[in-house]
Order: sequence, then C-alpha cells, then structure tokens
Amino acid sequence: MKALVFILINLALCFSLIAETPRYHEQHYLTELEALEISFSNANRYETTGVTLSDEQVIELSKKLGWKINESEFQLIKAFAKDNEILGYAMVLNENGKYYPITFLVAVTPEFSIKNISVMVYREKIGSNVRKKRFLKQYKGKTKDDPLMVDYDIMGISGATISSWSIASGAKKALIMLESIINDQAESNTSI
Amino acid sequence: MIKFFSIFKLIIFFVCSSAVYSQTSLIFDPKGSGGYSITSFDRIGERTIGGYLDTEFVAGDNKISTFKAHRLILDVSSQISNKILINSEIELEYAANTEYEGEIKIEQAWVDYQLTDFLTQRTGIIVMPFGRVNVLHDSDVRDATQRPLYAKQIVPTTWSDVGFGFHGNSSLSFLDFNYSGYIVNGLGIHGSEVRSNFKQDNNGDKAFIGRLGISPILGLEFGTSIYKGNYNDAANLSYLMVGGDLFYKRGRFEVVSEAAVIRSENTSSTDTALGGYLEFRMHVLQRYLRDWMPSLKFPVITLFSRVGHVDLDRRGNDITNRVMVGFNFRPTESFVYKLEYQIEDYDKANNNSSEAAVYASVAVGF
Repeated sequence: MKALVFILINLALCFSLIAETPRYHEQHYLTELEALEISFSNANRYETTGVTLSDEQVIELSKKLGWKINESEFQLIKAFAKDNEILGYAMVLNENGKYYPITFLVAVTPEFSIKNISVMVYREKIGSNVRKKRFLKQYKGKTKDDPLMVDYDIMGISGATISSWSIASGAKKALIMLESIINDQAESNTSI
Repeated sequence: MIKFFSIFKLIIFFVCSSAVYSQTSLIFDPKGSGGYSITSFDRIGERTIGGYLDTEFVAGDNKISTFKAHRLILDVSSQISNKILINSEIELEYAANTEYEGEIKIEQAWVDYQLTDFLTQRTGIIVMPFGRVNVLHDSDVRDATQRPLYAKQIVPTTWSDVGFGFHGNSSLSFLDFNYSGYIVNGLGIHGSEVRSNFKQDNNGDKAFIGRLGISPILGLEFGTSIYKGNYNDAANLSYLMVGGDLFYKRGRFEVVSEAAVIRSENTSSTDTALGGYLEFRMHVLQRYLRDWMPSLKFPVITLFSRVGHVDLDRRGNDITNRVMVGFNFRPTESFVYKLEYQIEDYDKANNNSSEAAVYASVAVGF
C-alpha cells in the first residue's frame, strides 16, 4: 500500500512538472455554424457571399459609424427558412480587445435589428464574461440608430470594459454595414 | 517483491529528477553570460509591468494648499502557465521620501493556482476582500480623489495581510456569484498600532476573512463580508467586522454603497464602531465628446456625489459626517482628471466644527 501511494505521488509530480505554457489563452466557444444555428434556429440553409467594398463605400460607412473601417472585404451570411423566406443576415467580426481580437457573430433580422450576438473565440486572459447571455442579451433589438455605447445604453462588465466596448462597437459596425450593403444590393437588383 | 519495488522506486525517482532537471537546467547551468546565478532571463512566464500613478492638489479650511505626489504603484505580474498567475503591487508614496512621510511598501504579492473557475487557491500577501473599495482602490479606477471616510476609519484601505485561501466564481441559473475566503495572520497589536504583520503573527491565533458577492442581474451586485480574529498577544480579545456592499448600474447611472460594524473586545467591555457611505455617479456627454474629440477612445465625464458617516465610539461621541460632490473627465478609460468639493462635519467630545476642502487630482493607469 505504501509503495502504491509512493508511486502515485511520484506520477502526479511528474505530470505537474510538465505543465503547458500556451502563448495566449484562446478559448473556442462556438464554430460559425453553431453560432448561426443559435441565432437562426428555424433556418434551413445559409448562403455565404464574399463582399468587397469600394473605397467610396468604406469612406461613407466610416462616416456613418464615426470611426474608420479598416476592412473592405467580409463575408455576408444570409439565413433562409424552408420556404426560402429570408430569416436574417449575419457577419463574423474580429474586433480588437485589449491585446488580441475577439471573434464573434452578429445576427440581425430582415428589419436590421440585432437578433443575437455569439462570441466564438476569446483570446484574452480576462474578460471572457462578455460571452455570457446576461451581457449579450442587452443587444437584442438594437438598431443602427441606437448609441451602442458602454455606460450609456450598454452595461459593461467590470474588469472587461475594453472587451465590452469591442462587442458594442462591433455590433454597431455590423448593423451599419449589413443594412447598407443589403440595401445597395436590393437597389441594384431593382434597377436591373 | 520488495526488491522489485525498490528498483521501481529508483526508476520513478530518476524520471522525476530528469523532469525537474529539464525544467531547471537553465538555472543551474554555470555557462552563459549570467554564469552560476539566477537572473530574470532564467524565469519562465509571460511577464508584464503595469501600475498607476496619481498627483493631487488639496486646498481648504485649516489646510495649506499643496500638490501631492501621492502614489506611484508598480504591478509586476507573470503568468507562468495557463493555471498559475503571480501578481504583485509595490507602492511608493510621496516619492518614497521617508523624511517627508514617504514610504515604500508591498500591498500585494500572491500566487494563484486555478484549479477551476470556481476554485482558485491563493497564497501570499493578499488585499483583504472586505467590501469593494479595499480591493478596487486604484486611483485611476476610482472616480473621486478621496476615498470614502469609511475606507480610512472603518476598513483601513489598503488593508492587506499574509495568508492562504481560495476564491472563485460561478453561476447558478440566472445568478452569478463570487467568493473569497482566507486564513491570515490577522490584525494584531504591534507597538502602538493595530495592524497586520507580514513577518510574525503576534499571537499565533489566525484570523478568517471572507466575502460573498451575488449578482442576480447584470449591473447589480450585493456583497457581504466578515473578518474575525483575536488581536491581542494573549489571543483572548476578539475583533469582529461585518459588512455589506452594493453596486447597481443602469445605463448611465451607478450607485455604490458600503457599510460595516466593528466589535472589538477589550478587557472590561466591547467597543462598537460603525460606518458607511452612499455614492451616486452619472456618466454624461459621451456622444458629444466622441464627436468633438474623435481621436479619443471612449471619452466620458462622470458626475458624482457621496455622503459618508463614521461613528468610532457608539457609547461615546466620535462621529464624522462627510458630503462630497464632484466630477471627472476621462479622455480614455485609465486616464482621469478629477475635481471635488467636500465638507466634513465633526461631532466629537473636543470638536464640533466643520471643514471644507477642494481636492483635485490626475490619475493614470498604465
């Protein structure tokens, strides 16, 4: 018995000595498909289209947003029901947190109000509470006309203020970009 | 059989030794520019240095107006694995000039071993988890220059002690909660003061401190704290502190409050002291500031007011009340200009006066 205990203690010591030291604390919570399924539970299919914005579009969207948009290419996701009715739109964002980007999906209704936000990948050591429902549910129903500002209409999380801002500013960006691009597409289809 | 186990033990020993050796061979390697010595290059972990500093200005009744280089704090932290975090806080007050009440002290120096989110073991010099302001005391985090009266005379921030314990957080359905609990040396009589001693407990009788925080919804947290220990050398006179705290935030408004009761035994009786404060905050003009100063990240002006009450002797007459109003401007979250006006009213055996003062400060976290 004594020998067995001795062996177990030494084995535990061996394992504890070879602890991992990852570079950062990347936590994968959801895949893109999982995030879409949470957002659009009635969806039958999804259609992903690559969108490239012109310089003029980037400038115009940056003016509407109030700060510069750095990306000109992104993936627009459309969710369809069985009868091909459009259930909404979504995009995946990588917004800067304190040191590393936060990857999250913003899903909006056909009327361009937020349906759901899901945090997919969180890379910071602290502040991952931004992925919790109690924080994200306050975005539901918000539109591009809402301020989406922490300590204004969005309650930030203590100890995760920068992450809270990242989600808020990303949500605002997604609302403005999705509405603008979908409306542009609708106009060009109408004119054709 | 015994011989087999002896050989097996020897094998296990060498395996462990080689594992240990492979981790520490850098330290004991006499070659290299460091030679036979341990340098920080030999230490593992992701290290960061941060901190905060503040500069204050005070003017008022019975005060000579002055600037104060109050604090420079250095936080040195290292994450040596994804489960082990070391944190330390070194405070230099008044330029560490001991001729003019300056001092250098270590406010915290601990190691966390995270077993799960719910159970993290902490050892070292720990900031006592009593209420809110003792833990969240950093100048750039606080909205006002002056800490609440309660934080000077009831819970003497910044209150640290050496010990061992656990902390963690979890969720039960809609409820988030967090807890901290530590066994520490405890407050003791050291010379003419009652304070913590990081080298030697005065009575061998350990104290317990703990806090439980419950958050039923985002933006609302209730907390309750307790400290219990024997403070005299004979370890037969107890010191009990019980407190409650509240934080509520809705949109641009915040309310913070804390209160505590202290019961300290002495040889002939029990003394009771109590105190607390209530603080209101409102964040204003964010949208306009963002438009006017587009180069700034998250600028905001915060208006605040606070009332505080401290009664140090429930049987006697030793009451101080304080009212304060002010505002601050944050060009960005960790950089703040503060201005406040304060009136302090005394109801003591030898003092029934009032004093007014203006406090201003600049604080920055980095």
